Amino acid sequence: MIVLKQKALDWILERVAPFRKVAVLGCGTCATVCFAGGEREVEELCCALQLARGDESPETEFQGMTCERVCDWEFVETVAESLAQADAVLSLACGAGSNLLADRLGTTVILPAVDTCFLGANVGPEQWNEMCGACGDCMIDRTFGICPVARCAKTLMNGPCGGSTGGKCEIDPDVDCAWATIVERAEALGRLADLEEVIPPRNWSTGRHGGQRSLNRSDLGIRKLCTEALDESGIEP
Amino acid sequence: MVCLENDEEMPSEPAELELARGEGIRVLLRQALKRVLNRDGRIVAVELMAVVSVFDEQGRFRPQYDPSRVRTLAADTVILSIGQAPDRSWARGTPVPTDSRGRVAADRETHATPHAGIFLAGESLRGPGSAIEAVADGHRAADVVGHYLATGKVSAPKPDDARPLDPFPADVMDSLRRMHSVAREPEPFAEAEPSLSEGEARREGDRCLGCLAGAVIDEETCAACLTCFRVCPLDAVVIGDPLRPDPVRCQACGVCAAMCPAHAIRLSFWEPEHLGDPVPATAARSGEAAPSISLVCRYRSDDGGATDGHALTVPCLARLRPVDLLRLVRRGYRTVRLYPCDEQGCKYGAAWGNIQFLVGYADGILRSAGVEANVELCLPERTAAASGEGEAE
Repeated sequence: MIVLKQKALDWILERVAPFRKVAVLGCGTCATVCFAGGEREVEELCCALQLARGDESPETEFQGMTCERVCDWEFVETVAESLAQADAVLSLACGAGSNLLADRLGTTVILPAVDTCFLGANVGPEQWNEMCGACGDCMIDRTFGICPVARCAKTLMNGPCGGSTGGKCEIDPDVDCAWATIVERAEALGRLADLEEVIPPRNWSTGRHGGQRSLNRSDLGIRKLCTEALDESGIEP
Repeated sequence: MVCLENDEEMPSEPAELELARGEGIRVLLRQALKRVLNRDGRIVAVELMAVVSVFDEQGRFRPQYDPSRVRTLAADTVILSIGQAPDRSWARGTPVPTDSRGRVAADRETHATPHAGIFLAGESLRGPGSAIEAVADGHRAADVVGHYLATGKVSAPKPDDARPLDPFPADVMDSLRRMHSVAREPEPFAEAEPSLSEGEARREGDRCLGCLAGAVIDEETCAACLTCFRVCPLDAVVIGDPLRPDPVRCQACGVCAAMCPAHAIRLSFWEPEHLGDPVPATAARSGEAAPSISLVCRYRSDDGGATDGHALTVPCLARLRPVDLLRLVRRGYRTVRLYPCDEQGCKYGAAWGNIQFLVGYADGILRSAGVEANVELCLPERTAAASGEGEAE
């Protein structure tokens, strides 16, 4: 999932200060599941903002709503009209959702209330860890299922480095060294020798260094079926 | 003690009987009171007759006596401790027909008496039974009467789709045993079963299990985040598509509903919305300098003095969400006091942890919003005393 974290209330308060009517938008998918921007946080944030601003001021209004998935334009459409009535939209969706929202609403101010942190997994109660760097060229077959792009501080393709001590990374004694974990797992699988083969320098062109990435799947045959809906939405496919 | 039944037939727990005999009470079994003998206006003895059988072939209570087998027992006081009979005096002087024993005839299926618009239910209709059976019969009668009022027609009630519950899983039984009970150790010559104090009576009542009254997950809203599965103190949530609480395991503590990030869980009785608007904010604001409100766990044995100011009872404080506390602050309350049970007294075991989280979380939001309001935790006295936190308020 996309892991998010709500911004500090002071930060949010400062950003919403100039606006009178603010729509607070949550997202029903990743943001809900990681307790950063679902129905629950929308209600809490509306309540906290109103309290902070003082309940007596009748001109201010925080209106909460939650959209099933803000990163899908049809779902955005279900809330777009109400959002457009507001002076600003405080978005608790991830960066992807908030961008789509801004594109759709055009002139409405979009304020982020969360930080989009990483692609991660819920590894235990109240704990999320980054697991994938979205490099666009997965090679975890060579590292026994452990992603060095996301989990090695140096993104080393051949590790560990000299900063690895007792299975921990030098950046933080609480952080596991990805490469120590890779070696451990190779050992358990009886495939330690595989690691003697050096992984050559990678082609990072699929990564995040060549501008905005996009994905077109004309093989799916969906687009022809939904042109009518696209026409209605006014979105350029 | 004279009893119609023998040990096995008697509607009492073996332990109760043992307790009575242990106190030296002699129990005469299969005997019935024939008459009370008086001399000079005072009771001197009772005459007893033998009971041949207590129940008939259908298992109905229908004692048969043998008046020829009589014994006399000296006595100066007779305490009658027998079942009650329905009060049928209402039928006298009405067109409702009764038989020689004053009984009202009614159709056992439709509950209807021969007189239109009068229906019977419970023991009046079916003879002696348990209170639970009478309540169920009342529900059926209400169904028939409702149909009669709406259509003018008498018909049998809707078929009863109730089915026996599956047996409780062993671990659920264990956790239920931990629930409150006010049973005491018997002491010689002490009253074996003293009456209960208000707090004890409440705790005794709280042993109700709340079967099938628990959480319901709305599939549409559920984000399948697994939080309910993780926080349930009774492991009642079953992972599947969709996630669902096992209605037999779920005891309606409400922790899952409070923690659900999608607000996808509903409880069949009492939701935080029921806090409603306890006292209009304006009244609270104008009245006191710093109005306060207390939320007291229904299962707590003492109210900890929460009766000062506004106090509301909540069936387990773990049902509350942080936003519910913030809303009370928005209504003008400057102090929100929570009166939970302590860890040992918590009916649901794990609910206690959730309440601690609730206080810290809501208080944190108030601090960062710069609102001058407090959320306070007020523990039962014995916990506060044990941990040396002087004030339990």
